[in-house]
Amino acid sequence: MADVTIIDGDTFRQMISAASSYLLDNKERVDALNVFPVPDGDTGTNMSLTFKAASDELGKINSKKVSDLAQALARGALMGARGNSGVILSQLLRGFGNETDSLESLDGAALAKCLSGAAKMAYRAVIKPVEGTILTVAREAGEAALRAAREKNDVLHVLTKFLNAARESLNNTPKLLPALRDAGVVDAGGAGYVVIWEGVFKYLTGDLKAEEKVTVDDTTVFAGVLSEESIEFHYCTEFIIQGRNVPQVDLKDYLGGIGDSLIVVGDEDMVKVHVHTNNPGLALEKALKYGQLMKIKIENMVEQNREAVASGKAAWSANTGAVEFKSTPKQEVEREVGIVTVATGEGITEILRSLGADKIVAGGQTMNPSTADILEAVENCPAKNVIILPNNKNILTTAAQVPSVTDKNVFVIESKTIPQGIKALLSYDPDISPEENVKSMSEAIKEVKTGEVTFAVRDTSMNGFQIEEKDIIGLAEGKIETVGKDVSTVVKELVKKLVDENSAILTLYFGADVSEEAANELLDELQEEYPDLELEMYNGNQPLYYYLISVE
Amino acid sequence: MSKTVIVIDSTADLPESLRRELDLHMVPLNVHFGTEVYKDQVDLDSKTFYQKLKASKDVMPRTSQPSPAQFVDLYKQVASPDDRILSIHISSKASGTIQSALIAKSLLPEYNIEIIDSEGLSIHYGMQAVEMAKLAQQGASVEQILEHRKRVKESIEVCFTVETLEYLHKNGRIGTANAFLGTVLSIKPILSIENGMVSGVEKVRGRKKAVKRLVEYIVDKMIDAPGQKLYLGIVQGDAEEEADGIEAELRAIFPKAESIQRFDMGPIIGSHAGPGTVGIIGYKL
Repeated sequence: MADVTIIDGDTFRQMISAASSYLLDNKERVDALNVFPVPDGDTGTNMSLTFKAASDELGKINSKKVSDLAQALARGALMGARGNSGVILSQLLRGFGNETDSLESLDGAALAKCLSGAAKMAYRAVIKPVEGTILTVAREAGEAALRAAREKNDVLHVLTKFLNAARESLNNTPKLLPALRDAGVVDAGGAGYVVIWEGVFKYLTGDLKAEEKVTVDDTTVFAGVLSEESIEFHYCTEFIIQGRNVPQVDLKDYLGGIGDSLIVVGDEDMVKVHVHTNNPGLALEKALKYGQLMKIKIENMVEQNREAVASGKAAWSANTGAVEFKSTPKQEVEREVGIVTVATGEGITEILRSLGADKIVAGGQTMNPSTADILEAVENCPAKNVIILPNNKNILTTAAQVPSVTDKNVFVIESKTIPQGIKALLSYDPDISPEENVKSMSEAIKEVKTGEVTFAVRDTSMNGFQIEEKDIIGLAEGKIETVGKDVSTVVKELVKKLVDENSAILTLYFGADVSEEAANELLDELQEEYPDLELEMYNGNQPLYYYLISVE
Repeated sequence: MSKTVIVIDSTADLPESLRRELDLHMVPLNVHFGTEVYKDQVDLDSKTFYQKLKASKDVMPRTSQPSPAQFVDLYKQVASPDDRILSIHISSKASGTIQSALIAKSLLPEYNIEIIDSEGLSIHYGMQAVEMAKLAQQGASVEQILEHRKRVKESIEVCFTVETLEYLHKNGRIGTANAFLGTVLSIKPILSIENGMVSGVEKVRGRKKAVKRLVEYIVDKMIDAPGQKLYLGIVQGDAEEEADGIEAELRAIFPKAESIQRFDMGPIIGSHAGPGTVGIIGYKL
């Protein structure tokens, strides 16, 4: 490596311009890392625009003094600062500029002083400096630069040590900041800072001309986010979700949207996921909603491709080229309170799950689960306290047996219908005590009225109605209120009995024996009849009941 | 003679007329639609914003804090080194705006600038600024103004509902209301602001119920105000009709309220909350 002993004004202009283009060309990759402080994915964009504004400022002055130029750079950054990362960058440049004092040019020692001064200023300017961010990267790299300058007063030597330390520090950020660790990424701002100085380094070593467009490189710390045109999705992302009732279809839809080579396999409590994506963080975040993650493995396929060729130059993770966070293999975290409920029908089950039900025992009107069935669900529910929602009058008594046969603290809420169960779950708050939950959930049940539309299994006389086998019957709060031959007509009659002037929402869950068209047609007719009500229709896919109706 | 100058940012959602009346000086944040950049409430008003938001379905608007230089310029323009500047801003947990203001302060050592984190959003923050300005106009001291601001903030109750949590979620500003995500049923969340971030209060089925709950929430907190003056505000973003309904109800329930004001949710908060957001704020003094 040739010695570059000093940076003069012309060199400074050129290296900044080169670095600016380099950052601009790599901004999307920085964006993709952005999860902290707010995961809005614009760190790279903001930093590159800020640095561009700073770089453009150099064009407005004629001086050949590095100090004049560095201070102009800081001024430009300050005016053009965009977003939080841009503002911090402006302070790094401000610190850098302050240290140039009135120097004509920078030697290795002066450069080191500027790099270290940059970090000091940024720490002072930020309200609450957080470690594991661009601040840490700038500070640790700045300290390394000072040490390097004492070894040898040479610009490239200082810059090499600075960059190595910056990469190492960047690689360490997930250990310092849980948000990064959880998303499986390094800090976006830190990455952006490394890219800038790498651009400078490349310019000084002749790898990069000012304004030259370079996006592919094999020597960069940024390998983790640099692309090889042939590989569209860079990260082979694998993990296992251990959770409760993981909705595989949703997961597939979502992951299919952010990547390819998708594999989602397993059962509802354990799902293995494999996806190639540019947003492993997003994949992990989505998965986290459904349970805890294990065996997380994220590999940079571009880097893997390259490893055979590249001779071990610093990569994102210097040793492996892959970020691998092993989660401690532990039991599913036992929570304070969990929910066991009883239902049939995919749609109904999915709704209950989405509202926080941990275990759903298959069962209902003609299919009462045994105490053992419910007990098993309670035992498997990952919580010390378990609330049972039986959702059926006949199952109440079965559920009531459970508390006496388990060591867990079990509460039974007297939900007699599915709509009551759903209503109770709406008030469920996993963050408060089981007793408080039982209270608010039991209260909530009183605010909903239930209608059920099914058919008669035999001729009978009940509640003043003469009923023939196969007649369509409508029940309000468990009592037969209307009988007819046509499902939609019975629904309308029943709704009439359920709705009063205090009603605001009418929700219908159509069953397995009703077509979506018929359901939507009925919905339109009801909406016409009740223009002031909010109407909602869901595919409950439940057997036996054509419609389950809730009025709130 | 030295004076006290109050500086705010555009997330306070205060209309220009009110800002002018109260001598509030505003630094705009930026709204980005793709590559287009607008200065919030300067070259993009609420109405145009919601039209654009609906028209450009694929492009989520982004927002960014003002640059430190914007603050430097405004501070220099509205005050001299002899004056005292009180610069109150959007919650530092939701935006880096305060960061830019603090850097500006460090660049102007000869100026007398106090930076205040309102720990609020939209009019939750805006009303704090309004109350400060009222006192400043009466010639109160900086200490009195700051003391008054604290009282107001402690008394403020706020709740709001959004049409969908999608916007808060996508922009990463969901705070503890995270638990409200991911339900299959169309749940309308009742949200509040706690410790400078959005927090969840409860889940409600249906928009009408949600709006009804907002009124109940505020009535419950504000009804008991012996000998106190009651101030209420309603803010809406593309939810004019519902805000009308709320206003009528509040006027009926609180005929003696000192003021019941209406506000438009501006582009910045609107970008994060999404269209169809409506909220109520109340405080008593």
